[in-house]
Amino acid sequence: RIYPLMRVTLTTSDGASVTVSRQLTKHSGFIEKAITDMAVDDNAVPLSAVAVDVDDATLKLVIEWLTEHRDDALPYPEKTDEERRADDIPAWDQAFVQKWDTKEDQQQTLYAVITAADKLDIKGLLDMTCKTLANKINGKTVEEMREILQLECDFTEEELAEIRKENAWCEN
Amino acid sequence: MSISSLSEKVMNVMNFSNDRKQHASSTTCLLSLPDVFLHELMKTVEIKDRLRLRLTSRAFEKLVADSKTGYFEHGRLFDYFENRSNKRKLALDIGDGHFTGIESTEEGFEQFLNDFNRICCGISLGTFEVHLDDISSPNLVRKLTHKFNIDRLMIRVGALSTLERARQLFPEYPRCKHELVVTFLPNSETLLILRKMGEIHFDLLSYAITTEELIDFLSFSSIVQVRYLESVTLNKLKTVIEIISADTRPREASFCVKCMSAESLLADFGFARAPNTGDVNGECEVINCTKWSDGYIGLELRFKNCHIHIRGFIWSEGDWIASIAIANHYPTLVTR
Repeated sequence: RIYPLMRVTLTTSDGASVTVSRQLTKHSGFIEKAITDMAVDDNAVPLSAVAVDVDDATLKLVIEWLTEHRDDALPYPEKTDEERRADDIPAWDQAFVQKWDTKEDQQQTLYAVITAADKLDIKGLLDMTCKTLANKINGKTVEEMREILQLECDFTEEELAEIRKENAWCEN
Repeated sequence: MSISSLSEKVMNVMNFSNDRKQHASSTTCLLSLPDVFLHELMKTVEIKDRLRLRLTSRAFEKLVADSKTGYFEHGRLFDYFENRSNKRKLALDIGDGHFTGIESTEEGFEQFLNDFNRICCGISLGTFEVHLDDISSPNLVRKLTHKFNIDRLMIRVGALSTLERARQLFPEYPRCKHELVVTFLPNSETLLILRKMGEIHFDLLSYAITTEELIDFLSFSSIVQVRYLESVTLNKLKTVIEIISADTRPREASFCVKCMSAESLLADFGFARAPNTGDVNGECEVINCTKWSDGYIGLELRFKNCHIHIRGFIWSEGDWIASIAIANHYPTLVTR
């Protein structure tokens, strides 16, 4: 049983502390396991601090997302191989990610949130960020993909020609 | 070597080194993301996007080659006539990818597989369909299918000789469901073989068969698709419906008949003139009735445990041809 008013203090990798409700942390497999491992009384308020390997700025974004998704059903439904669609991102999540687009380092922010979602084991956030990145690259030209993924072409002309030759099986 | 040319060389080396550093810092970022994320990402990438992605950088070329993930509902290996070479070649469709120009010789196929390995090795396919008559050797199928995870292997055969090859191939795929699609009209000896092969799909769009043959085929086939059903009477048609309705296994039949046969059936259900959506008579309910301005009617009926779809039907056009699909589940076949 989760007590929604219970609070958990999270200490970030850059030394900040954030106290949040258990209603939010229940979506993080990592934090829930840490609390279980502490074997503290569920009624203890506040619970002991849980150290997370995520910086303060990224954790704030994660908490913003968790706040919006606090009522999402748990456990997060397992995905089958057949579920490949990336066009079903909720409107709030789209706006949440769109907000980062105003930042210069939007791609870095996205990567930081993806890494945090993985470390904290928040499946819904990982799934949403994966779809976001997939939507960014699907249907784009090679140059556009390089721009989105912030890549420099490191192929030689000969290597590029070889890959184009391999791709030619599918480009007639 | 002059000082200026040495200086130029040093500058080139430095620029190359800077490029590498820049590349390393940018690509490390994405490629250092959790494996679970990259795995999920590659699942959502279509074949044509994979081709473009592998042209972006070395790291992504490797990611595409190594990801061994991705799910596509349908794959198909078949042959076609290539005008350019004036030869028959093989083609492979997977998702939005259409691979063409594949030689059907062992060497030619191997050459294709070497390149294909770097594009979508290890992907999963819902159904993989092989037109076995088109393939010179079952070895080609074996070599290709070892690159995939397949849920359902569908083999289409159009001749007795190919049927034998299909019988040899199926047991090599014990982990996936099998579907044999027979596209030739079997004689009595072949029927004996087919009966032992489990559920079969008859795709006989070039053939007309009798109602008795249809009933016989339905006893060991999940789907029977024929161009035309001969010597149909109302009682025979009703027998087909009763058999499909009573069968607990998925059963579906699709065929064309003269409009007078469909009209007799409708009259027997109690509809003397064109019914409307929602009409009910006894055990028959009109789920949907579409009336076109040119007189054509499309009907979806529910009778006992059957869905019955009638298309291209016109009242009082006795010799005109209408198509009927009957199934004890929602028909998967598009009625013609």
